[in-house]
Amino acid sequence: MADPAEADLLARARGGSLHAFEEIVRRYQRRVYAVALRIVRRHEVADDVAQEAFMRAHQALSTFDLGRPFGPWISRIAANLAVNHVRSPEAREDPLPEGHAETPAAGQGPLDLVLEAEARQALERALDLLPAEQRAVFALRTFEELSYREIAEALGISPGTVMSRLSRAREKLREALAPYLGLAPGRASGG
Amino acid sequence: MGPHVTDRLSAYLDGELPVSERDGVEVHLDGCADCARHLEELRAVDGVARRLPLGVPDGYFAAFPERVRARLARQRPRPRVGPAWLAAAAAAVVLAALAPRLWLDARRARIAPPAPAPAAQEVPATLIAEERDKIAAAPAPEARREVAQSRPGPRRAVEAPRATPAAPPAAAAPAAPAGGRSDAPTMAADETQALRYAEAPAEDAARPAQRNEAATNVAAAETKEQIARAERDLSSERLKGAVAGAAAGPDPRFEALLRRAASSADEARKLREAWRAYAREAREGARADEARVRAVEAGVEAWRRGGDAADRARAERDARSYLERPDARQAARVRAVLESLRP
Repeated sequence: MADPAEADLLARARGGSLHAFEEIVRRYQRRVYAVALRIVRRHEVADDVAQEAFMRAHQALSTFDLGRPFGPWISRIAANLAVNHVRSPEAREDPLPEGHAETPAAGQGPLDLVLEAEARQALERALDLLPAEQRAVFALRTFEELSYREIAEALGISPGTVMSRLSRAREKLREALAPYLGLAPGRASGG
Repeated sequence: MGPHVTDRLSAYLDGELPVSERDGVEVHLDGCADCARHLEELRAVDGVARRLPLGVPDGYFAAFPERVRARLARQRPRPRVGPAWLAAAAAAVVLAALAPRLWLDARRARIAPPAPAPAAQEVPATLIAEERDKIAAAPAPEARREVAQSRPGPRRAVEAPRATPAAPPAAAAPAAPAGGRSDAPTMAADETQALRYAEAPAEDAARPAQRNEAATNVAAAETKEQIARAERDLSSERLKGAVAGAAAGPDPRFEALLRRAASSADEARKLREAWRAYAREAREGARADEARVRAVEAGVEAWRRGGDAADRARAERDARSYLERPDARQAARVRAVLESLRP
């Protein structure tokens, strides 16, 4: 069920209020950006995708059911745009630079600082190497915590395909992370 | 114990395994250390992934909502402020602004330029000068470097031909070079100099190259003609691209990028990325196409200014990617760029 205050904002945005829609953007920008970034892996592209997701959502507001929660809906828009981008000619013109990896933050989990940083870098590299379709299901499951059915609806695929892609994605990521796991008691828990 | 269940652990972890299979997996896990460890490793993958930082630039989220709002505001339909033919004259305005040579060609061919559209008078003379200076300042094909290195005072010789774009006659016909006409007195001196420079090789070539200096002069003069011709061809293509983009309607961002010039390799790289970002956002149409081509050209300029092989490789890659596009409208122009990159 949608938050009443949010439904009011959406109604005003639908009526033409840019200020109301800007507030919606402020509420969901981090989530939308994160979904995009997890799939496209570059800030500039994630920025484009995030903007486009909000633009599309704004265009489709007239048909959006105000009783539905806005967050999952726009997350799906962002995920589809992100996957479409990775498949597009623009993505071929814009390959990930070699050695691409986000600068890891200071370790906050149970892993040692250095190992945590290295593990994150290894995972980032492995994510870069995943096919976009596998990355998309992994992002929607891990970060958006959507069910297989919801992921299937979001991406226009079957739940069985979601299951197999997710399994394959996780196996590749597990192999990349394996050297850093089990090096200290409790580290494998992952927090 | 039975066969390992690793292929079902991902779904089990998510609670998505069919009920009929869940019990069997759990029984197996109780008795298989390998599969139990495998499950924990999958859980760790999720845990580490959730702790991955986004690495967002400072201030990004503070500015993002306003950027979206501004983009929405730009997309709102603008009220028409004049007759419909004014909108159609927008392309002619750009043509006039970027093609002072058109006026000169028309004069030489004793063809009276068509009456200017009133909107053309709004074209700032600075835009004409900017485009001309940009062309003059841009590093030329390799021939220019050879000329610069072989003759004394190379900078002067190289920069002398302030070659201006010469659109083909077919494109000149509908043009309204009133902006050019209003600048005719200023342009004439430059145009005359360019003409003299371009005509010089004919005189030089008449003298036999007996001595090394004479041979060098002839080669240099021919090279200058090549430079001038290449600049006219390139500028003609760039002009056509700019006009095609402008004909799609006013876009301050596109026009601002057209005005931007790079005076260093780093600036050229930034311009390249700015054009790429524009193309990503516009996605399709004349402006997006022009943006992609200009991104390639800016990349080449970065290489020519900085000599960094990575810039050259990137420009080559971008050019080839463009040529693979089914919607590429200016393949010949990009092929010419690719050709110029050959050692």
